[in-house]
Amino acid sequence: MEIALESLTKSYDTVAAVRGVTLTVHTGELLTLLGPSGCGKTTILRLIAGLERPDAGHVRFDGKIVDDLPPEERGVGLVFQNYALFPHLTVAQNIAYGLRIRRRRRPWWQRPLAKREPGGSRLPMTEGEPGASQLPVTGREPGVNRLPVAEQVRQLLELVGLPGYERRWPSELSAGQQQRVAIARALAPRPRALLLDEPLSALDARLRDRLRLEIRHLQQQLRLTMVYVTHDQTEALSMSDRVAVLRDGRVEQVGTPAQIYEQPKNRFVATFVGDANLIPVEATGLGSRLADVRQDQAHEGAVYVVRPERLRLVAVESSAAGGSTAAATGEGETSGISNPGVGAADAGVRVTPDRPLLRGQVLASEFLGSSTRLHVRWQDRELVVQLTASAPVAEGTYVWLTFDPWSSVRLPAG
Amino acid sequence: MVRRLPVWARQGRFRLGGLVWALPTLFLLTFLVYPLILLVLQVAVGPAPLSAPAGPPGAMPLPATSGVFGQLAAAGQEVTTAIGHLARGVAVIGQDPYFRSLIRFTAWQALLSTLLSVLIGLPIAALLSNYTFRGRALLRSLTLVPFVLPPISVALGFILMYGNNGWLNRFLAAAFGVRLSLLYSLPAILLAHAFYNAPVLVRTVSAAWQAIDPSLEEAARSLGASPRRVFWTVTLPALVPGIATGAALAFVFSFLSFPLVLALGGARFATVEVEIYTQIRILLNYRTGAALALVETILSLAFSYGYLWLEGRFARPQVGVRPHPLHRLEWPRRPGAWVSRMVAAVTLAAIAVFYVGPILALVVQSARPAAGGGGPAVAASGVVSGWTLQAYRYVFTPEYDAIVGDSPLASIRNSLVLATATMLVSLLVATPLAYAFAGRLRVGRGVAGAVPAEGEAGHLRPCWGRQLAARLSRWGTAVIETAAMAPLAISSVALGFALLQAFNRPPLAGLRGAPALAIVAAHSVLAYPFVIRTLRPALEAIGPELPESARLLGANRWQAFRTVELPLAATGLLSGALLSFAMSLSETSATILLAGPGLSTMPITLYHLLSARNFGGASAMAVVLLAVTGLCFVGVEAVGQRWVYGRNGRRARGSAE
Repeated sequence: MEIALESLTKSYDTVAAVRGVTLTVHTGELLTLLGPSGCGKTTILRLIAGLERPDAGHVRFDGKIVDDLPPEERGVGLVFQNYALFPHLTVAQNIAYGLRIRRRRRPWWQRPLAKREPGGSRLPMTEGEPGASQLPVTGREPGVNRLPVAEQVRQLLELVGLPGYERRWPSELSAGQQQRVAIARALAPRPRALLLDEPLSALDARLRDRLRLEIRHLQQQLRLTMVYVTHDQTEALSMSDRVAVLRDGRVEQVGTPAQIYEQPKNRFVATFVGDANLIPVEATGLGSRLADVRQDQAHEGAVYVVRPERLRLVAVESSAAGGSTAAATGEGETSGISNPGVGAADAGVRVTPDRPLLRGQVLASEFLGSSTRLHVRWQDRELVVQLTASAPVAEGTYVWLTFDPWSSVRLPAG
Repeated sequence: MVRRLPVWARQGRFRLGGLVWALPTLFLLTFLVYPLILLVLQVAVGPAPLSAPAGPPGAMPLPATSGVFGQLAAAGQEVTTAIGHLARGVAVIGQDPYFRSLIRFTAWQALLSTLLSVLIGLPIAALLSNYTFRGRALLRSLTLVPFVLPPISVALGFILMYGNNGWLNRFLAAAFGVRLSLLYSLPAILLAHAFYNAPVLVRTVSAAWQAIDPSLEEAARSLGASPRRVFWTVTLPALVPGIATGAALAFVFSFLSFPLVLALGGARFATVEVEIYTQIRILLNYRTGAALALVETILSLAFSYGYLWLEGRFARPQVGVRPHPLHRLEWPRRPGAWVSRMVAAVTLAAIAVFYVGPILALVVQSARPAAGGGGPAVAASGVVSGWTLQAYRYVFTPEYDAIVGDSPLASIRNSLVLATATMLVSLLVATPLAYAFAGRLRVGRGVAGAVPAEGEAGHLRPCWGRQLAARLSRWGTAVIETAAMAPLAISSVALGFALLQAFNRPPLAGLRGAPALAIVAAHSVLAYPFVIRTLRPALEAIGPELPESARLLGANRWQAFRTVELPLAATGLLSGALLSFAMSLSETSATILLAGPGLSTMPITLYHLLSARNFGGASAMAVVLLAVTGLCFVGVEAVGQRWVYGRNGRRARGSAE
């Protein structure tokens, strides 16, 4: 199902939570809403689910405005941050809730006299829609699932990797298991889209990584339309088809994870998604030389966005090249460029005249196992450098750094 | 811009939800607002301002002027004179030295009773919240006393215990040869109030004590404070909310206490409540009674508002507090500790005698009428000495009894029927209100609670109109909540009188079984705030995301309420139901005004028997009453325990399936 948000606005009392968000979630896509807490991402999710009414703007499902549909008629599933499993029901009863309540929708005086098929439940989805045929429990008739409820529950538990947990109580499950049950419960009535509100934030790091993969796998297996809310940029980048970065109730940028990371549209996106060194163009000394090439951009206050892994140490060996670069950059030091104390594993890159050269002092060095992070003071700011080498660099040493301005995003002033 | 239609119109269907609201509204308008208005009119409208004892009750004179304008003018004049009368009526109460001393005495005895309750309650609370010892469960169940024991039977117990020929005096006479004249004096009233209200203090204070995170005290100790210093600087400040709310409640209860004062105060000591009763029932002085009731209602509303304010001010969410550690209580073994040992023993014994004595006296008296301090009446009636079930046989006779005005058995049956009706009505009234006050109405449409966390997302430009609207809606909610909780501390005699007026007039007077209806109405008005108080926390404990999940899984609002919120709040609902049942069983003040001839309840029968000095029958009736209400409260406590266990022990229904 395609979900379209049209200049959606919502405020509480005196606080604006969502301000004019326009966004489309394509069918079968996993879109992540990423932003700091308080940016309105949960509110957007609640607006889609129908738990809130927009002050202005519309929510469309497949082109149809659904603003007036109550949540129970929208046919979307929502997994809450704290899972919200019903504590007075077993796992099986929790999952069956959506199947049974649907069946009970008609009042008794409207029900047919003949005994109904066990487990016959109306489905909110239409035949042929992605997701419909992919769920493991599918009946023949469009919109009717003929399998008994117990069987559907069994299959759903299998799907989320908890076979045989039917009779447990939610309180007897670990957080990760509760999470899976919550997903199974949300999937049971065959939602047209699944919304997840920070589903992994309450789990420990290792479990989070594994469930992240599983959710992504499930989404692709069932070709579910999924909206995923998180404030964790690793989660957003690793599992999404597209990411929407939000701030103060507005969409800052929408794009694939690679686009968001490599081509941030503004400083907020650049610094919120991953680490970014914002290096003023003027300070690199390249401004005047590049001016003729990139005339469209003013240099005043413009910055390069350089990711830690793109900021490289300068190669040690060539004294000639070093000398010429030092001269080219106009720095007085002619003692040559060398990075003493830096291991040979990360040999660094050669400096060419079109590359800037930055000299800074190592403030701290963090060993992270697969890489080493240096915090370098350069001028009056702190740069973060990620080295693939595992060799430590002593604090206080001076290092020469460089990056490729041609592949780096340049953001204008402001 | 498209005009916004109401939700139900946009969704193209009528919501039945409105009907749920109609019931409490209608009920409160008919049985609370309308009678209170009548009470005001009683004072305001009349031939002459209240000064001398007024004429016969009822019968408001209607303006007989013809023509719309004439009528309007007459009505306007009527209103001005009425306001004048009202003001004068209240002023008469305020100026009359007798009434002023009455109010002063009522407040004074309430204050003294509160102090005494605090003095007795605090040590018990300290004992209960810090130590384990044999008999702790028994002591804990003491805290149920004010709810279990109908005041009239406590009064009886006190008479039997402390009366001129009571157990205490006979013991003193045998041991020291002295007799004390305790009854019908201020100390008797104070003791009885303390008997009632010390447990209230124990409840609130030990709740506050157990909510103290022990790591606070541990932190203070690790910073070098002595245990005594920790108590004064850390523990006591944390207890202040519990003490304050408990004391406020004790004050309100003592101020409004009626049956105890009626039975123990004798002729000399009357409180406002007793005076209202006397004015209405004995002197038939309705207007004075109404004016007095009005003044008292205003006072008690002020008190209850103060209490609710205190409670709201101190309300703190208790999240993840470590349970307060309990130590084994040991006798001090240090040499020379015999003083503190004696003090502890004497204190415990005194508490035990104080609480167990009257109850024991009741039970013994009921089974051995000649043994107790019944006085000459019993002795003269020539009842056989020794153990006998005669009194119980009397209580269970279906025959008409002239003293009671009904058969004693019928009064038992009446009580049970009225209590059941009260329970149903107060549940129907309280449930929608509790649901609304718990902020559940906005679940699924607006947000319940989830907003503020997400809320920092940029404030709207400061717009005083919007802020004013937000503030007004908050105030409005607060006002409605306070108003709905008002009967918590309304004077039950005043309420009974107001309902009596209402049921003496055409719209309600014609109803079949009006007295019973009036009693149910009075009991329900008095009980439903307590139902709200038990139900509301249970509903508030359910996270808004649970019903929201249900909605998203396809349940409509009613289904979500029925399948998720109601089962999860079931224990709160059940204990509220039992509470209202027991309150109805033991309610005396309003009932005694409303119960006409031929309709009696257990406490009324008890009162009549007591007046006739039939202590044996009265005791037997008191024991029966005690047994029924006691059963209710054992039920409430068990349910409460299971609820707590179910939430913390995480096995809501594990054992049941």
